[in-house]
Amino acid sequence: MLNTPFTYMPTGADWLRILPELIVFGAALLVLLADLFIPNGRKGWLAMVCLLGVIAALIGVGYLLSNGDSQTAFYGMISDDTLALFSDLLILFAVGIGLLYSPGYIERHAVTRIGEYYGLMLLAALGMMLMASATNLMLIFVGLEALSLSLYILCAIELTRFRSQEAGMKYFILSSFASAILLYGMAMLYGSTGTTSLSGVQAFFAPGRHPFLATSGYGPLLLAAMGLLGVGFCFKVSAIPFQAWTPDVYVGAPTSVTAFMSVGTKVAAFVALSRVFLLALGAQSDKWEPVFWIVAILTMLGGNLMAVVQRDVKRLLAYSSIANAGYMLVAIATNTQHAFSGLLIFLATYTVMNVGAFGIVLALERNDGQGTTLDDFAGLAKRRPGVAAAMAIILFALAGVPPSAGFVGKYYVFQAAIVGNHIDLAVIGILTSVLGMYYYLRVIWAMYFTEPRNVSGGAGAIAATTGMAGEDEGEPEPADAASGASVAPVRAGTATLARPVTSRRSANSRTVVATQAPAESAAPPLTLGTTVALTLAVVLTVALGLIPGPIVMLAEQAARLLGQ
Amino acid sequence: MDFVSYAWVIPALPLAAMILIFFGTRPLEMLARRRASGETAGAGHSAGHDHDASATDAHASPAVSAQGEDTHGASHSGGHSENGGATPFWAMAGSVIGVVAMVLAFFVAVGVLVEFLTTKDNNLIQHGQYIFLFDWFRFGNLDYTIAFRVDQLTAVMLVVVTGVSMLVHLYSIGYMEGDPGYSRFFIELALFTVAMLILVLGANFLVLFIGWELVGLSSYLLVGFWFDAAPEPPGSDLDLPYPPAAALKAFLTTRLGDFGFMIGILILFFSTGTFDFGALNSAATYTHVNQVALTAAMILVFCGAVGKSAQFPLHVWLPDAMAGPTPVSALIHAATMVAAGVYLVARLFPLYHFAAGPQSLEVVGYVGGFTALFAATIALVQNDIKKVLAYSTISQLGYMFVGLAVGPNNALGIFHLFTHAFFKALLFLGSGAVIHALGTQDMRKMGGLARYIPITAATFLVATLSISGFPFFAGFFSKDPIIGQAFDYGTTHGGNYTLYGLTIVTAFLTAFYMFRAYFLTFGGRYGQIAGFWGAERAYRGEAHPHPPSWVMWLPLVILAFPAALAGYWSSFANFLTKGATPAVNISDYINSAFSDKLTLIGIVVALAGIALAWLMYGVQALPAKVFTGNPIGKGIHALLMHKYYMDDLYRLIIKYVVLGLAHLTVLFDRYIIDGIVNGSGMAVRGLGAATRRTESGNTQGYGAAIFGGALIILLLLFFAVGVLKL
Amino acid sequence: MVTLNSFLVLGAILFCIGLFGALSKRNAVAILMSIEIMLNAVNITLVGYSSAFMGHTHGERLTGQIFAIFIITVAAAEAAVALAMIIAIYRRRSTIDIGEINLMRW
Repeated sequence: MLNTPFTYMPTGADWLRILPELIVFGAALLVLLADLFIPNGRKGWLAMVCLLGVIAALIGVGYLLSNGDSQTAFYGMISDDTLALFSDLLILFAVGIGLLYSPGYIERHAVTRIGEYYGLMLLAALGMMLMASATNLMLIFVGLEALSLSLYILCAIELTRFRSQEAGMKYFILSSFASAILLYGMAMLYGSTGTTSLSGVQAFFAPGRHPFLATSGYGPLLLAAMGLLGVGFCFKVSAIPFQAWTPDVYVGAPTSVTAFMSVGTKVAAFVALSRVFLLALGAQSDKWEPVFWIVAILTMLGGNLMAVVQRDVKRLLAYSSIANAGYMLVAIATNTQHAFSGLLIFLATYTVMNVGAFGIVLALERNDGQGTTLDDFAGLAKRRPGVAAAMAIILFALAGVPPSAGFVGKYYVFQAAIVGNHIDLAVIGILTSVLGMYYYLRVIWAMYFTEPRNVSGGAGAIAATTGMAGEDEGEPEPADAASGASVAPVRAGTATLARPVTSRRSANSRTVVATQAPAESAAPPLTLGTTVALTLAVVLTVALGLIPGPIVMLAEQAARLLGQ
Repeated sequence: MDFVSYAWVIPALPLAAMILIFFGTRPLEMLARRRASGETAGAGHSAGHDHDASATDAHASPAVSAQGEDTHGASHSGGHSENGGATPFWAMAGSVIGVVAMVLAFFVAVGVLVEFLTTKDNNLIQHGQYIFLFDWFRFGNLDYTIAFRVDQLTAVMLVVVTGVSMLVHLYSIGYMEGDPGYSRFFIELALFTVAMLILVLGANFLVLFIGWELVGLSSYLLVGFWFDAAPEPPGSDLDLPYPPAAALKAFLTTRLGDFGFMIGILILFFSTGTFDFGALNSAATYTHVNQVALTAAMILVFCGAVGKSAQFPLHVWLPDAMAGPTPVSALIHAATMVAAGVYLVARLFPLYHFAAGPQSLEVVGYVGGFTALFAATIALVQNDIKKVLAYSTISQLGYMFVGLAVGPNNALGIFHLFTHAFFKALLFLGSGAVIHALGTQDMRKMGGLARYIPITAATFLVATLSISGFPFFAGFFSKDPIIGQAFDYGTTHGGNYTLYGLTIVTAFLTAFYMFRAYFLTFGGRYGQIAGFWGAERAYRGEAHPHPPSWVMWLPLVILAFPAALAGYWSSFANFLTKGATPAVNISDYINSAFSDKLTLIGIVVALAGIALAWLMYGVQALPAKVFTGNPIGKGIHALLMHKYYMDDLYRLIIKYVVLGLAHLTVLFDRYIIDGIVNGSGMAVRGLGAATRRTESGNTQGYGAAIFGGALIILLLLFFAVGVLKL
Repeated sequence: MVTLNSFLVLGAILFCIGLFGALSKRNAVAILMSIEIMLNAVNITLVGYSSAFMGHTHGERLTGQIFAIFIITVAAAEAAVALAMIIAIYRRRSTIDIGEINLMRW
């Protein structure tokens, strides 16, 4: 045994089991290659190639869902179980929507490295898929780094916008810092169990396997391993107190990338987290459950609280994604098969809603990355009724109003929490959801029930520009609790100042049209890809709310992994 | 042919018609109308007025539209050329689509019923057949299924709903002619039908509730159909409801009952874990269920039926629902809305009868019996023909609930629902023809109309005989057993004959007020055949009555047959109870009906009611002053005229109690809740503002937070497990 | 005699040095180097465990070393990406002080 040479020959079946990953990888290489031959100005074709690759990979996932054998491949490194395929589905959907958003965004924001952009999108998706399918700590790490490295570059790819580079830099430093912590945890887990394979870890803790474990305890090593792994994963899913990078990176990154990464990373990280903790370390749940219990509460409270005071919708969505991570952590802390399927359903609903929400932000922001504050959303329903309606549907869903996708996700997670004896978490979750309703519905209020601020009118223009400049300098907004009361009169004041201007102008309708024209051009019309993607997101948001049956079935099938 | 498997086409057909009209003919009609008005504007002379008239009818002539019904009648009696306008081609096409769809649906429904009557398949007889099953979603052990199922009860309801709806569709072509909302009307009519079909086809509470709410919604739309009608003209004392207000009243009043209904469903669901009627109605489900909770749940479910079926004290919406077009009233009163409550109780009959405590059915019976008498007394003095019919519906629904409460099975109540659907639809369509002919619904301005509209009069007479319980007519066969059974119920319940008393008195009143309405409308003093037929001298109005077109009288004639003959379905109970009661052949059935002394009492009572009505209104040998001349009679008359002041009572309650409470809560809200909310709002924003400070933008600050968090988590783990100790 | 404990202690000390550097240095390149130190601390720990498992039947003997090779590869890629970004930032702002890169906050 000691000196047997190691031999392992991958079979055809092994390759088949990673079919979707192979297709995405192939498409990424193809894009990088095709980039050399496609002249500038026609780079839109690259998006087409990517999309075809994504669709082919989706077909691959479909094939494996119906014909797969749910086995591990490559010496227990990777699996094509339903859980892996379920997350592949979500990741591919997210990257597909992100790709649909991309051509329009690239055109407006003068991204020069188009070939790399598309190639990295696919490679990031590949990393996510690997991370979600991995059944070995090593491959989890490789997948994690593949997705992180791609995303660092994607975040920083807008060379003309400094916020983009700042986002890339911040993401890089913090993420690799967290990766190092995660790796240290992996090393310790390897040290205490002698294996990096998740099934090996699970077998190590099997009852009766190591009788000394039950009596003499585990020593600090295993505890440290679990703690460090938990920290690493909590960073990736942006749980408080490891969330700090999230808003800055989401806001700074190109919006098409944000739409994709905000959901893709979450799916990959949550699935890997559940594989490691729920599955491999399931026998040790009495140790780690309290940790996730605290983190879940902190995340739900903190995410929602910080979102309440945001006035920039893109940043608000970033905080809302933190809050949503809190709801998902409720399922982790509950730690039942039931809760796990709830988590997967929540991930699915969150995916369709969030890509849609960031898509709206993308449709509205101006070329300098501004134009997404609540004031810019004011009166949107009159200016762009279609976009406003889509946003309203998605925000209602995010707020969890039945019968939308958001409600379905929350329903399953909280129901599982109650059944799993975590009424405390469910109650906090529901209460913080109410808080969430406030800031989501405030955006709807702004879109439908407030008048647009007249940007070109005298006083309004000054207020708007100073507000914007203040943001750019990083000045704190005067929106504290104490000064909240004083802000309102000021705003009312500007409104009354602006109103005579408009009414005087309305005497001459031609002038009004002329003054409104620049505001219109600031928010460019939707491209075909964006329209398709938004429609898809909205339709799915509604459909998942009305007919959750299929996704619930798939999630329950994927969650059966825990029962084995 | 296997009709049962194809029963899904029954709701699908009106649904398809609705979609076709909505997306097909209605846009085409609008296009054509715009083109027509464009041409007239271009041509610039008055020749275009005819095309335009239909579009602007109600909007351009508010002076004429004194009130919905009146507008309507006036537009016809006042002459077509001025106001009526022809129905546009595409609108007409849409209505034809609707009628065709309903005819097909009716035939399938009849096929289903016939198949149930003739089948030898015991499984089909005992369990019915699922025609549509869709796992909406399933989570853990909770199962939400969309399921449609056909069984005997559903088959009967399908025939009733599609049959009445088909005739109402046909009738509406004539009645709604030239109305600017013609296409909208047919869309909403189809929606109403679909909703009711979903309700009766649903195999569990989930589907039933969807249908239930859709029925509420579509009735809201239809009652408020003439939403732009002007308020009642001065000088009229008919107290005509204002359509939008009536629609709202219907919606809100039924919602009140639905509140209890929902709680009842939830109690049932949480104590049994299922929505499915099959499981709910089987006794095995209740071995572990608390009977008190179950009884409470059933009474709460009955609250929903009280709202929908307009029982006391939630009956107030139904008379006001007359504000809708008369065909809608016919549909609401005969087959759809109000039948839903009775259907609900019948559907859950095993639950009421076997599982829950006896209190639940007692509540059903006494509410029904009281309502029957209560509504009948109000109907005695109404002058508005539709109001008389409305209160008679409330009263008859009371009978149905009594029938369900006292019967050994649900056949008594449903049989009365079945026959009532035909004669009540006939009555309403007949009254619609009268209103259409005269432009008023005030019976004091009618009389002797049989002379002018004989078909309407003859069919109305058939329905009146039927509802009065005149021997050999349908109503007799369905109503008399209820009264008889109420007597038996009294005998077995320690001689408490309250229900019998209520029903037999109501039978007398019913015969009286229905014939009063008939004499006042069609016959009366100076009429032929001792007041039973009309004459020109007997007519008290001014407008010239004109006979209805064939699309209007044809449904009347068709309906007259079941209204007279539906009672001869001798084996109805046998059919509905899946053979649990013995089948009866027709001669035994009639013999047994007349061999009973109780029946004879019933006949005598009915005849007495008719005779009194004839004396008072047919020949006017006994003037009404005999009763209203003395102070007591006068007081009673005023009390009845004002419907026991129920509406005023509710108005007062709303004004002083509800609004008073509202004012109090506003104060409470302003000074206490707002304080708390604003305080907590401030606290939340403060907390948010404070926590956002942690997002300093400083990368290494974030890193430090990660490190700190990691440290805390590690310490927590070590302390929790006991590796470290304080 | 180099025992497992020596490996682990060395790894822990290196990890802490890297951690301290990553949190205290202002220069982006120095932070990058600190993170590399953290990764190498993990490598040492892994290799230590790996060699400790050599004499035992329990444990996968080579996994730690293979893992370390993976980490070295990824660290190289990280360094490349990070340096590229640092250069791009330096071009725009003429500084690589991480404390000054804070446009976005709150």
